[in-house]
Amino acid sequence: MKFFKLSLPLVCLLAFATSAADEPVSEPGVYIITRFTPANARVDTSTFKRMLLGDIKEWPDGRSVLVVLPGRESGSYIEVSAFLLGSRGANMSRYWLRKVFGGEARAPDFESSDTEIINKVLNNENAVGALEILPDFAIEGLLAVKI
Amino acid sequence: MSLTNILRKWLSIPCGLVFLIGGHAVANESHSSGMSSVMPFMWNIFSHADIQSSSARSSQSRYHNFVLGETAIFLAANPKDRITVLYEGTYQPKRYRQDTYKSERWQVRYDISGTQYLIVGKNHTPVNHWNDSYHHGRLFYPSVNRPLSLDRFIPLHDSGIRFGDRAVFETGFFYDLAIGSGHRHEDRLFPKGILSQTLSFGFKSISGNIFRVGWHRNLAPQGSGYTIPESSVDDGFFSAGIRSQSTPSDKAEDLRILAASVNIMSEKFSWVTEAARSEDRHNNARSHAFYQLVGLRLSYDSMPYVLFDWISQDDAMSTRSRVESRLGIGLKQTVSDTADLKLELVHRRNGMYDSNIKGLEFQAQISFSIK
Repeated sequence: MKFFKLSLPLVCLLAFATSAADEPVSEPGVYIITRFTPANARVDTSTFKRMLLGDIKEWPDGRSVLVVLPGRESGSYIEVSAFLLGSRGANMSRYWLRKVFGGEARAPDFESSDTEIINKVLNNENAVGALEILPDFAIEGLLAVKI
Repeated sequence: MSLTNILRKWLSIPCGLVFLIGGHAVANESHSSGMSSVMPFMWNIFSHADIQSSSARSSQSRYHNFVLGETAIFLAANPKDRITVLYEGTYQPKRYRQDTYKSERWQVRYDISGTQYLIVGKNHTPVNHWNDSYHHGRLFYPSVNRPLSLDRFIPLHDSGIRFGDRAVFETGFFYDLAIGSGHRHEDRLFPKGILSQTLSFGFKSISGNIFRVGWHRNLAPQGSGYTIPESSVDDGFFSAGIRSQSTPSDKAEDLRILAASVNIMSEKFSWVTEAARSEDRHNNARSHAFYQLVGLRLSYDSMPYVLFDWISQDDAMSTRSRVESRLGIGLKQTVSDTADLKLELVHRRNGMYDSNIKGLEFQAQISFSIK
């Protein structure tokens, strides 16, 4: 019991150090991400952005675009909203609600964390996503464009 | 009205079509966007309620200090990758408008390419940005009410065929071309042939700012039906409770509308302009309208704004000649992703040719969507 009490602070310290090491440390900004394929790599930034706004719904080779965005609870929500809609006061969820309500587009996938956005994009070559911070380690198969 | 009748009216053919096509594949996923069960079936309900007080009301008109706004039910399904079927119907109690239940939109959309589309059905006339974007969702309105032009001379709906491109050559240029049944026959496809044409084009910048110009022509031969001004059936509380004092008309019309829209959202400001002019060549009557909203973003959730809305209308389209205006201040407060509170204090002038009602009007509106 005594050993447990003594070792508890050490365990906590180690846990904190481990989580700190996992913290992403990439340069702040907004990153557009997609799975790396030759076709996806040919798309320019402006087209990516229009895909994320729901104005372009197909890749140049005809595949349907799947948009993956941070949800309200995600840490990337504010920055990505500001990037896409030009203002930090913009409401990305509301924007998409209006797009869908107007019959203009299908709803995107809203994910609650950057990890989920990355996983979704890696698992679907038709997906394009946006997030604020990338992990500092390389992710195989991920194409990221910093804005 | 019995429950059976209510359901029958709501679940009309287009509504049932959506259920039929989309219902077999309802997903049970829900997420933070405020949209439920996204692929391939979506639904949402939009509604609003208003508290208002006015010193500008007419003693001859009905006035409500509390108004239960129209409730819109929205249904959409994607039976195929490129096809979207959509229905929107609204309900408002009898005391506020004549038609309690209305089918506002029913359409089938086919995405020809990643940016081009073809729509068949009843749609909002795409002559300006407001009418083409916000539809009946008060949650999306920047102010409590829509511009006066939309309640007076711009036809809200049309049934027909619409072709458009949202990003021409993957740039920000967009356009719409539409032919329709005309506003007297907005619920049916071409019962009297093609009576309306719409051309609209514009530019949407990479940051989402929109500049748009639209042209709309509407022919209505004499005896081809009646023009019912939207204000008489849509917003009974609008105009400080003054229901339209006009009567439906079956006069011949040759209405031509030119409209321009600017919608800018910057870090600090929000700018919305809707300008329109119409000319009824058959009756030699003209109308002009100008709506301007400038908002200052104090924070993520709060935006006070200044509002000016003005219309000058000759005696045409069954409405009496008038100059009408609203000038005031407002506050748009975002309560959540799916709810807004708006407060507005405006000086209102309703200058019918035989009266000139002026006064202050206060409105508080809660608008929301339900997943």
